[in-house]
Amino acid sequence: MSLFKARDWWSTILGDKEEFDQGCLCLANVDNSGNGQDKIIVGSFMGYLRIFSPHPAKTGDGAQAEDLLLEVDLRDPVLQVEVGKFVSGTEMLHLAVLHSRKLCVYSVSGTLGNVEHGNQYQMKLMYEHNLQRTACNMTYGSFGGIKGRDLICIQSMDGMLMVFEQESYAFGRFLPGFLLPGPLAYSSRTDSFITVSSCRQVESYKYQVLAFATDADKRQETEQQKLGSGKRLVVDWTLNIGEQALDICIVSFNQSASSVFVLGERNFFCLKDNGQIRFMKKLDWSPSCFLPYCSVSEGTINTLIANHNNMLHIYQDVTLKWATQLPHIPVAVRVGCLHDLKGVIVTLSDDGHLQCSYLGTDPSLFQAPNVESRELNYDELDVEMKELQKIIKDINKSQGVWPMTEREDDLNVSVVVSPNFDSVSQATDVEVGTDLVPSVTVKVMLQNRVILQKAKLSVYVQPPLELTCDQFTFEFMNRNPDGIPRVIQCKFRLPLKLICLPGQPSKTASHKITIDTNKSPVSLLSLFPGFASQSDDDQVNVMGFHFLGGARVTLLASKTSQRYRIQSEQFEDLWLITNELILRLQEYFEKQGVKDFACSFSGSMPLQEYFELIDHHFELRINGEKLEELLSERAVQFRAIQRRLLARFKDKTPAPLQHLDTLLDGTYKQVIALADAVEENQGNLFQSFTRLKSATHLVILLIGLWQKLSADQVAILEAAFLPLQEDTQELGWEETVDAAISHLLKTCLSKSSKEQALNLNSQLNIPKDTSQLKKHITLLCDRLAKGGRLCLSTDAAAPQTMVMPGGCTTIPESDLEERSVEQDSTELFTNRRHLTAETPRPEVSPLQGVSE
Amino acid sequence: MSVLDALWEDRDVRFDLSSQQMKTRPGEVLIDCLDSIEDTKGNNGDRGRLLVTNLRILWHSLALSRVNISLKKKNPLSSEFKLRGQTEALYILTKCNSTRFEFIFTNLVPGSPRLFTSVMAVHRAYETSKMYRDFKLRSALIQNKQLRLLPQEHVYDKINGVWNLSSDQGNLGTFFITNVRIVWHANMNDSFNVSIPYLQIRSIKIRDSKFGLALVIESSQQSGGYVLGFKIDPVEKLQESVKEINSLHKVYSASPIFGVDYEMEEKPQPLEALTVEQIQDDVEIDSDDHTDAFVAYFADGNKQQDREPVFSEELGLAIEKLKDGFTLQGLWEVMS
Repeated sequence: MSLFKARDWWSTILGDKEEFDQGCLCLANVDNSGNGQDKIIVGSFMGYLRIFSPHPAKTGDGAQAEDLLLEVDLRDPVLQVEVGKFVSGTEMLHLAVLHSRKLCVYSVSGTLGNVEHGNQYQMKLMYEHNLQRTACNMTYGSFGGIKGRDLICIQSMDGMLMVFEQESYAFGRFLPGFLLPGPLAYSSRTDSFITVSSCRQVESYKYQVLAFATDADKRQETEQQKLGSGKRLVVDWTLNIGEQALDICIVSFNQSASSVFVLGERNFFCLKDNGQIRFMKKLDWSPSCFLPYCSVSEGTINTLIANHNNMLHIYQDVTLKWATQLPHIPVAVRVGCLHDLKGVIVTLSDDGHLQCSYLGTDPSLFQAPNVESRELNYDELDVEMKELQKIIKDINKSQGVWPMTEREDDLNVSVVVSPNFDSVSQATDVEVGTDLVPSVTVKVMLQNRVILQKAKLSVYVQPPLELTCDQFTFEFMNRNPDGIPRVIQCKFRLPLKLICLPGQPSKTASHKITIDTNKSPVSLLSLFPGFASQSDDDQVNVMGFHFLGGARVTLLASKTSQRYRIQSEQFEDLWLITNELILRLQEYFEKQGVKDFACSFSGSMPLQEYFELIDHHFELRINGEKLEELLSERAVQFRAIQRRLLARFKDKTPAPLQHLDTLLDGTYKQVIALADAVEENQGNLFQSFTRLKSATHLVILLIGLWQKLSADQVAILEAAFLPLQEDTQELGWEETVDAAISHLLKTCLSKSSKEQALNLNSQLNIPKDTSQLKKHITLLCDRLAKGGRLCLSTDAAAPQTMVMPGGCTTIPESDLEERSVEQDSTELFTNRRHLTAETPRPEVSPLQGVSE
Repeated sequence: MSVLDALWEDRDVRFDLSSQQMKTRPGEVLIDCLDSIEDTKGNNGDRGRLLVTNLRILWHSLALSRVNISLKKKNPLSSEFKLRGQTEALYILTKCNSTRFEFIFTNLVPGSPRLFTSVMAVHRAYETSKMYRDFKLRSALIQNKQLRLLPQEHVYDKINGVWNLSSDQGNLGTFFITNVRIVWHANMNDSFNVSIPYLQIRSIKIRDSKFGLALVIESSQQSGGYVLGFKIDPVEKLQESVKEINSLHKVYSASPIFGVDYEMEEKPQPLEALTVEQIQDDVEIDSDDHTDAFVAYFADGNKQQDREPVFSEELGLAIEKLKDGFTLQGLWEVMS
């Protein structure tokens, strides 16, 4: 919105659905009336020509019937109207009308009657020229310095300048390098035509040069005959302005040097006669038309520039002097003296709004009020405000945005694992080796009191176990009251039988673990009902387990002492049964009402076996890296051979292949073999990692039993040894765990404050060997044995939510998490494929019910 | 000699209309009716109804039936959609008796699909059918000595040998009498012509002139108050013509043809059904209360009229005369 608006002095709307453009408006005393008043001449693309003489009785009145002097239908589109001395033998003003294929010159005369409405006007055709080429625009002037008459120059759409000496055609010349017509103007001072070509440069052509150049019509001929009688049309000067021009005006006021004004699409230029830039002005808006109209002070020129934002700007050279808002976007603007008022701005819009205006000097300050800020109900607002403040207060009380306290009434997730297996197994691969894979149905119940929106339930089990469906979404109608997504988790155990079968116990094994208890031994039959291999009760102190895949574990209960022994051929296989035994013992004594039951482990830590597994895993990683390197080398080689071959085949003169094809074939085979090896190594690595994880669980369990660590401390160990992220080539288990353990050693297990100085590497890289890690693990055990306590919260140096380098976080936060630590066991396997090779099977598996 | 009720509907801006004025006049038809429209400029916050006829736009408040506006259609300076935030508003700038009025109507239902399209379309139809209603001089009416007919126009009579008495010697020409207007043109110059719609005829008389008995047609004040004299020989023929013109004028007055054709796909209810009956108040309302209702709609502050234009040497252009104590320089510097 502009502060100032243009005041309409007189206005009218022309015709219906007619179109107008730049050349359609002209102001002149076209009827040569004695009072010398300007008339407004408007032609339209519909072919109407109208002449107005506005004389409003009162400022701002609409057009009266008598303001229209003449309206004629010329039947051809009017491209441009100009008034000048176009008829020979007289200096009277005549009207030139440019149609697309015709130039007509009319005389307009009026006969006055007794009253205003008795005046009659007539248009008489003086002469017309039919044009051979479609016209674009025209300019007129005293070409060649001729006195007292005006000549017309028409530019055709295909770039010919046609000069008419009044009633006769003089000559036509093609502009060199022409593509599309630009605006055209005649400079009387330099006697030249100025246009802006498609090369985006202002070009000036001398009239004399045009006149003596080779005739356009004969050019073809002359070129063929190479007579060279005419001169080539050469440009006088050019100036690159880098954009298309909308209009050119050449003016000279008060005998000052004439200036060439060029209105570009983004800039406004003022040039001297010789094509040098006097000034240019960058415009912030898209201009629609312009007019340099007068010189108010010596040496400066005032210019009107209208734009597509309905604004009219008035510049004195480059200084903005005034801006006013117009009711329409003008395509043509003129300034004239109408009805004894000087300096009236006449504007014409493309849809025929013709307005004579003057500049309003009262600023308009009205701004429409915003709809949203209206119709206020203060009572309602007060109530809403109070509610919002209450919510804010509540949230501030409960520390943080996330509601930590779980409200039981909102949503309850409960899980029921059916006691029997499905009669028909739902598993996709029904058989593993010789064993059948069973399946079990799990029933998840969601209970909610309030109506929730978009509840989502996802069920997760560790990869070797599979789900028939793991995602459920429930759409409810209402909105969650606080709008914060919430998560509720529920974990449950799956029966051991799902993956484990009773088997033959074996007396001998390479790996043995002994667990001490403080209570008399319990019958294994009561601990593992359904796993007794024999029917006779005497043998209940020995029990064999057989995993779905073949591995065997034997559990021995001492008859005399309070000990249990677990033995197996593989170190890592021991964990599941050990864990299961301890859990079941705890449950058993809990049922009996015995509260002080405790297990312990007294033997030395089986670190050597553990380190072997670490080494194996690390070896595979190194191996994988080597293989990938090799593979990339071979791939480079393969591409190089391909390129050479291609060059051979492309060559126009065939050359022998020189066994390149054999080489290609060989490399291809190598690549395939390497890729196979990489894939196989990946599989092995996977398998090795699951073993490692299983062994890690066992080690943590044993450390816990050995040092009688609390649940909190076990959770810290768990977080250090079992990072949540996946084991990859770039960031593997070894470096992550090493970083975590060295952090523990430096903080809570440090001997002196000197060691506490943290120097964390910002980047974790694959280590050269595992000796560092082994050393750290041994040190950790030593420190724990010497009474070190794992504690993060009391350590001032390490805040509770510490982020390990490499991004692994310590997570022990809630009871739920601790339970999962003890029960999380299915991560032994990550792939069904390894089921055959790997034996331990979990009885427990986490299931997460997530609702939001 | 009949004088047609002055047609004000399409050329005046009125406020606080009586229920009589709210009713459609003969020939005026209701085209569209938009509910939940707010008159943002003058009655901010009031829910109202916008009615569109072929001659005018009416707005009245639902709560307070006394508040209503009638807008002329003739010559609004501009009317356009403007998007303000999420609501679309109809912005109308119009001028009446040198006073510029600005109206902003907002649809209170955001995102309403049918907005003011009918207003724009009817306005367009009105603008393009001015020949039906406007007194015209020297326009392009005649083509090959024949009248260019308007879509709903029929020529009833053509009278040759009609002298226009606007100049000393008189001009011989031809009358075309149609169901909408009377057209005269000079036989020698097609461009010298006059088109007088019955709508703009104030009176038709036979009067004595220096040329003898002549037909005198007086045009309405709003069209310029022209007095046109025509002489038809012999006198019998003159009287016959006058009779014909008079009867056609009467027929036209009973059911005027405004030429604004706009077909809505769904017909709205008649205007009477939509107009809220005014309850006659017991208390006589002082008519002075009404006078300043229009002040709220002034386009430019509280100014009723623009000051007269003067030539400014400083800019080399015509400007509105400055208030005492103000300079162009000062005004411009305040702004920038």
